[in-house]
Amino acid sequence: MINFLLAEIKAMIKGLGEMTLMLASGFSFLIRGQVNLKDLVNQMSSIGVDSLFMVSITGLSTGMVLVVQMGNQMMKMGAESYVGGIVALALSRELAPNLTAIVVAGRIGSAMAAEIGTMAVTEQIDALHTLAVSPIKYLFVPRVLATALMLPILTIFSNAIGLAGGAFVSVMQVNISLVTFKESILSTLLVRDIIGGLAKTFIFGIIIGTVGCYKGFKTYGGAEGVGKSTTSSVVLAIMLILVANYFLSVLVVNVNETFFAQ
Amino acid sequence: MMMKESAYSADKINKGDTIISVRDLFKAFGTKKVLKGLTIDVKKGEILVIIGPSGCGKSVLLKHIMGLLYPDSGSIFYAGNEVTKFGEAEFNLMRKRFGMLFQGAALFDSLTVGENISFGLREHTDLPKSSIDKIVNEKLELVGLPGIADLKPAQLSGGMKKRVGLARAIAMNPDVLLYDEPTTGLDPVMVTIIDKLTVDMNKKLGCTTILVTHDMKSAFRIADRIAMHFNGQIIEVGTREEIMRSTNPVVKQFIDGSEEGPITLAHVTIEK
Repeated sequence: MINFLLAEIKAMIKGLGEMTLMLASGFSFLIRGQVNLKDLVNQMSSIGVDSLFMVSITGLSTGMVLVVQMGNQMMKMGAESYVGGIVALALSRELAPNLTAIVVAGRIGSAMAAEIGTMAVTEQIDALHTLAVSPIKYLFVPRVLATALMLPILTIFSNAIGLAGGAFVSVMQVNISLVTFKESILSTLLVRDIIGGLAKTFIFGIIIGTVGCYKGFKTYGGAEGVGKSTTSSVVLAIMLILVANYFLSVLVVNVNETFFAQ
Repeated sequence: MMMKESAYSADKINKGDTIISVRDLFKAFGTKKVLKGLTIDVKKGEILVIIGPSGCGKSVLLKHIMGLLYPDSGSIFYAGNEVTKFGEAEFNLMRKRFGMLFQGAALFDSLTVGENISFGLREHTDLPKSSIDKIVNEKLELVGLPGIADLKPAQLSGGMKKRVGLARAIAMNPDVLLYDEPTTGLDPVMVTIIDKLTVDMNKKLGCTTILVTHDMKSAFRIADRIAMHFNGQIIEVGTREEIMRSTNPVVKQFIDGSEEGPITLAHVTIEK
């Protein structure tokens, strides 16, 4: 049992090391401007379109449920003027960035692992090498960059839909007026709260893209291998997002306190 | 170590002289020893066919030559350069002089036939689209598939995929063409067509051809020389006639397709 755990930990550390090297290699292509803009735009477009519906549903549901869960309690305490602000803060700092990242990891990270994994088992990655084209440059860079750029945009969307859903439930179910809800948001939410959340999603995007591509490149063993890579890419990406979220949240709080404390 | 692309040209090698030299190559995947001191020379301009039982490591040898796999020990030389000491940048310079046809063709699913064939040209040259389209059409004509540039690989039959894969491999007019079991899974007529194409490409492009197969009919039809790969080594090399007359029991058994002999199921290793 201990040997198994040690082997798993060793494999994970090796994987993280290889992903870091892959990221560094991708970054070197990026700073040399070796990014195919057509591929990048295609990837961004596909990530946005493929994820928008799921991200919208997740944001809407989260905003609505938040108000359902705390609206009545807050009303009883006479604290209805705080509901909008709390919902906005919770969404913009944590819920929208995390849930959007998790949805995109499931929807896009897995698709990347499956696509690249299929290319690996059908020797298309080898074919890229034989054509003297780096798979990192051709496949990895546009996908990781596209995910990192699209995730903040999807999160903005999730924030907006979540607040709209929260406002709808506040008015229709909890009897908090739209004006009260809006005033509460305006008096509580700061631009830096939104930016802090979006900055985290940029990193989450890098994690999702890197893990999806890495798992794809490492695929072997035919259709079964592709299936395993797909599943493990989602598990690993979500795990890394949750771990990274803690450290990034601490960083964002410290930056806010250091530079914006009043 | 960084060298100019011309250093990887086969121009400086005379026809018939050694262009690729594999020396004492060892490779194991886990506990499976696939190559056990494999040594062979390839002469410029020839068609060298490497035969051997399924899963004996023939493809592994090709992948080592292309730098897709690194050996545990041993060396490979191409045009005087030690390939096994190359980094990725040097390999990429060398690979521009090579073309490879994969067993399953390995066409890029998301691209059209034309985009597949022009892939290397678009990545490595500044040719205008009109010139690239012209080359694509020429190569498609050469492999006998004119007018299919706009189709996707999924719309092609197995034989057509192989021929498009060949068109992609020859798009950059390579010095060396590697074929990984090009006729596996094809009907007899298509096998003959691919065999004829292999010889045609060798003559028309003046390139060196290394082809791995376990199809003896194909081997005897196209080879200038045949090498028998068995148990991780090249155990015999010779012209078609020499191989046909070989007294080596392994070669004899392989040519005859006999069940009785030194080749048993135990000799089949797992290919990566």
